[in-house]
Amino acid sequence: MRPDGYQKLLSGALKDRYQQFSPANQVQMKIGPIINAELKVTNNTGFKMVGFDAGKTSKAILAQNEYNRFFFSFHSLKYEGWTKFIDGVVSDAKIISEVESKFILAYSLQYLDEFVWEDGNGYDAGLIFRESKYLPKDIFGSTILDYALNLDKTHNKRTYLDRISVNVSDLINSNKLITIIHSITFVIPESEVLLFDSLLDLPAFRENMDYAHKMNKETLEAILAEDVCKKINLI
Amino acid sequence: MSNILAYFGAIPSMMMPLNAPVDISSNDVMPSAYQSVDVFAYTSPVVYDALSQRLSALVNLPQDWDGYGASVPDIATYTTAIAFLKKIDQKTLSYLDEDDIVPTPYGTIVLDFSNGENLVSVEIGENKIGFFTEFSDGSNSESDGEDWRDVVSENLSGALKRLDSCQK
Repeated sequence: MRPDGYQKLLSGALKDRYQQFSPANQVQMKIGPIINAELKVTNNTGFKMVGFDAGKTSKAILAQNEYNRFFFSFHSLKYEGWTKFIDGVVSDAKIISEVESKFILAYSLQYLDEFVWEDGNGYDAGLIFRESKYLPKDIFGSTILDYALNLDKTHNKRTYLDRISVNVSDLINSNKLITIIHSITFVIPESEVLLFDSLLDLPAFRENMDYAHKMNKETLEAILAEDVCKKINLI
Repeated sequence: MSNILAYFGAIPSMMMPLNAPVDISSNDVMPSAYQSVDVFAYTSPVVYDALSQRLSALVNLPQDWDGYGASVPDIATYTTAIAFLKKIDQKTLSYLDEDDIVPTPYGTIVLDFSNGENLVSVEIGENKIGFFTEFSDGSNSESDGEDWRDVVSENLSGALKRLDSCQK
């Protein structure tokens, strides 16, 4: 991927939605005794495109060159509902897809939900989570947690990957950070190889993304306590 | 419970791995990444983290980046800064703009948290964190530097908490 080819979009097709472009660098840490530790910085490994709303970052596109593949992600930091989000990112993705011709390997929808428990001393997992098939019961007796479950499942006779991770960690002022990341990933079968821009026009793509959104709501509803579901307007 | 559990809204992302650019007029169009797919490699979470990216940019500065012999933040300073940010909640981080993360000529990194006229300036070194405050009510505190042991000191925690209660 050549970042400069995408930078031109900021004065072209994406000029009304994104205002800032910067090339990305990759920082890798060589593991070892601190005295011998090294940071390896690789320049121009991708780019970051940021859109602002009232002076705050509202959306971003990240692009990263990785071993044997490229990776694009489209992020909303000001979520205003599913339809607005998906219409916006598909529109952006279509413009991005026209810069270079690439095969799509997979696509995902990921939701990150973050809560802060503002009295860490009184932390009670039972007030946040409910017993479900997704989480082990041991979490209810624990005050820190790093848990992930990654499964293959089937929808419309097609296999997809369903990943949920839950992390509970300590913050300043005795607070707790509770992070839930849920994603649904559809891997394109080798027999159905297709180009990035072609994918975006397929009815099955939109149907799969709608399904992923629905599954996210169902998963959160299954793991979060009723009061929390109400607090985030899930029910 | 609704008073002690804060929610900052969902952050959705659409993620798409792709293979190398292709010449679609060629017969040899099968992407090599298909040939040995580790499907779980597609499910690693991707989180937009502008502050960590800003720190990465700082360690990528050239030596003598100011033309007066300035040092570049080293690996220990970088990892301490990353570990410090992981301890800070989103509400407090909303007072830290990525442009307010700046290097000093001594190889330390300064993070300026501000709310209106009120400031908490944190300076991170290899294994120490210092700070000073500029609150508009004139009641201020400072620290030349306390050892970083993966815990934010009570004084600094208190200053950051106070920032949140300030009027803009």
